[in-house]
Amino acid sequence: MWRLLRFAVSRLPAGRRDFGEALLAEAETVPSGPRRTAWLLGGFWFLVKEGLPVNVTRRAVGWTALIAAIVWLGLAVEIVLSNVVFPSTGDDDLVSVLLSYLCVFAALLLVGLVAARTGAGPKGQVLAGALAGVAIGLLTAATFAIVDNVWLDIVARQQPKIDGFAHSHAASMRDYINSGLVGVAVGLPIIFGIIGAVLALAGGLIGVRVPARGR
Amino acid sequence: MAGRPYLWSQARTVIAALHDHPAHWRYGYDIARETGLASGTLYPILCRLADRGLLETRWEDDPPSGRPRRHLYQLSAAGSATAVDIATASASTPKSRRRRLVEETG
Repeated sequence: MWRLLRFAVSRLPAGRRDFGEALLAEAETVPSGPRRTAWLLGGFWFLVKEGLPVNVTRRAVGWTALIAAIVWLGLAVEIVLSNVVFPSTGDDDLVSVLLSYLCVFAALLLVGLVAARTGAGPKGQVLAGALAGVAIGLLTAATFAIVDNVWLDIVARQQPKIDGFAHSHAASMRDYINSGLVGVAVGLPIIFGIIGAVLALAGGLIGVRVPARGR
Repeated sequence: MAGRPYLWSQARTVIAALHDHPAHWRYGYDIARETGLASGTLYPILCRLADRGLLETRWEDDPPSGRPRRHLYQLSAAGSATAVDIATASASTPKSRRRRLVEETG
């Protein structure tokens, strides 16, 4: 953690490096335990706030995290329901998959809108959308990995998976599913991250143009 | 406060803490303990105050062995003037006037 912080401090803009080095120097004199941990966590926030070339506010970060978490929770519930609770052997989940994507895209638009309303500029909106997209992608891939491995006996009854496994060289259904999940874990965050950046910028434009209620 | 930049409440707290000991150079952890601010809040404020010319900074000359060199902070002349403005403004708020009246009348 120290090395990471020292490296990050060394990359700060010239006018901020002294303050970053000061924060780290002070950390060595802060009593070890929760106080020092809190001090170092504050150091991370300082690095994010001062190191990124965008205006990062706690409100914007909080809202972005909240929206991403809500979307992931919704997706996780949908994944469990459609794969485990009400499993289907056919490929008939087109509507629910489309709805899930629409919800994700709407949420990424909302991330940009909220970022704009909390004072973030276009760069901040893009960053918020990209990070939210990557986070949703990673969490969704992790959810698929857990569901597919924990309830393998149920998931393995899906016809597309049976067909795919039959045409693969995988040694077992678990190997086949997990090799597919590697692609999901890499591809989904990248795709959602790019889409998130674009949609958040669009959401930011809406947020700037449409006056907030009560203003 | 006419002519002076707007400062948010946490920055005012830091300025007040530094103004309480105008002759002393203070260090970050010391200010954090006095103000109760987290490092992630305090240091961005110190940066902004320095940017606005309200804060002077320097590195400690001869730190005792075994302790890293400290970055030290003191209000500049403009910072001290701002601190006086803040104190004057807060003393003239209705709330503080009411508090003084209660103290005076017992």
